[in-house]
Amino acid sequence: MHPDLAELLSLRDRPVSDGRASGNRAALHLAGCALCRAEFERLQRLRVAMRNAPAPGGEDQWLAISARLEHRATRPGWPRPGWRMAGGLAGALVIGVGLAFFDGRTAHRQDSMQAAPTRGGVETMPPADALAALLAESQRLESVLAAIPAERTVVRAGTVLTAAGLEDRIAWVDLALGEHSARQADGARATPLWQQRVDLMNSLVAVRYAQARTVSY
Amino acid sequence: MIRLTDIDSDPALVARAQAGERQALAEIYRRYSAATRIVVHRLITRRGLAEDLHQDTFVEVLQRLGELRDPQALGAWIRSIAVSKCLMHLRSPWHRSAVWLDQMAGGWTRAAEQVHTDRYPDAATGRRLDRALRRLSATARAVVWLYDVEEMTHVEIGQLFGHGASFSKSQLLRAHRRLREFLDNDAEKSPCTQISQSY
Repeated sequence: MHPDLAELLSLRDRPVSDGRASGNRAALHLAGCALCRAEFERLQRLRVAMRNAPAPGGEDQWLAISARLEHRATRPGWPRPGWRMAGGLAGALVIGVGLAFFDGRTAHRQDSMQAAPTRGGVETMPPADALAALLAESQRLESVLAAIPAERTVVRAGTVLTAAGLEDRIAWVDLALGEHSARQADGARATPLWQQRVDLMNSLVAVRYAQARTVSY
Repeated sequence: MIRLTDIDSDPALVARAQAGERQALAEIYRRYSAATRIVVHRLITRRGLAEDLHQDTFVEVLQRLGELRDPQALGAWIRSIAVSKCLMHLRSPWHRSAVWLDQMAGGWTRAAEQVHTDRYPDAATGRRLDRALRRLSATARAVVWLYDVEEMTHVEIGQLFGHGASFSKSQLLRAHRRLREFLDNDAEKSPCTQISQSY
């Protein structure tokens, strides 16, 4: 019976100097089976190929690293354990207050669900009202987005990619809304698109807000 | 290709860097940067993110250098910080949202990754292997790279992922099955005759 991949990998990683003497079943089989020997050699070649893979190119980042180290070193109070502990306690306090505030807001939001243009809210509204609420919310989010300060010089690629992805999707929804409007179709059919736009705008505002609040290194 | 653990450590250099000497810190970056970049770029396929993590790794390494007790272990220590940063990223909401957005956007990632792949003007085999590795899941790719290339043990890899050795073994097996499948399929699609580009 041919050894399976797990056995071949095991044999590759723990080679036996003398297969017959060791009594290793896979090694014994390999000695007489050209098919398995070929597979075994393929696994060995694959490992060699991975180890010989060329190194990726990249910019010299020393200046940026050096600047970040400098900034951290000169940050007031950074290395002092006492300040760290005080900071930790303050952080815990802020999180505690924040959670309490968040609970309050959640309860309030549930109370005013009918008025807010959330997904649950608009579903219970008449179609015309739902559409109007979504339009108003979309406009509000646009103004919130416009009020967030422009991005800082140092921006993480992850943030940029996420924001760019959201902006692309908003553009697609806008395109679909434009086509819908050009066909002068039923307004109620646009509601899901506007709901999608509001959801995406909410995400984008959250990303931009987090980005604007990110403390520089 | 050079691995972090293959680089000869210089205890005198490490001591100077631990004392805060600027030139020694820069020298450590220069010696270990390329090998670190290989690990990070293999675990994180998005080029921009990999470069961010490469930079983050060195900021942490050079800032925490005073904690290193054995200068001979500098390469392994840098690798552990780099791998831990990559795995932290793979667990983060940023990564999950990027994967979700990729699925929504279709070929956007493939286009982004193609730029990265094009930086390897090596033989066709190397490009096929590169493509196959990129098609693995992030976890499987990390496990196969850490085991086959970095020579970490199943126990060490399992611990990095918060699991045991059996997790690493099963991921390695899965990765090899998928690699074989991808490489075989890719080979079938490759033309046996190079078509002239001068038409």
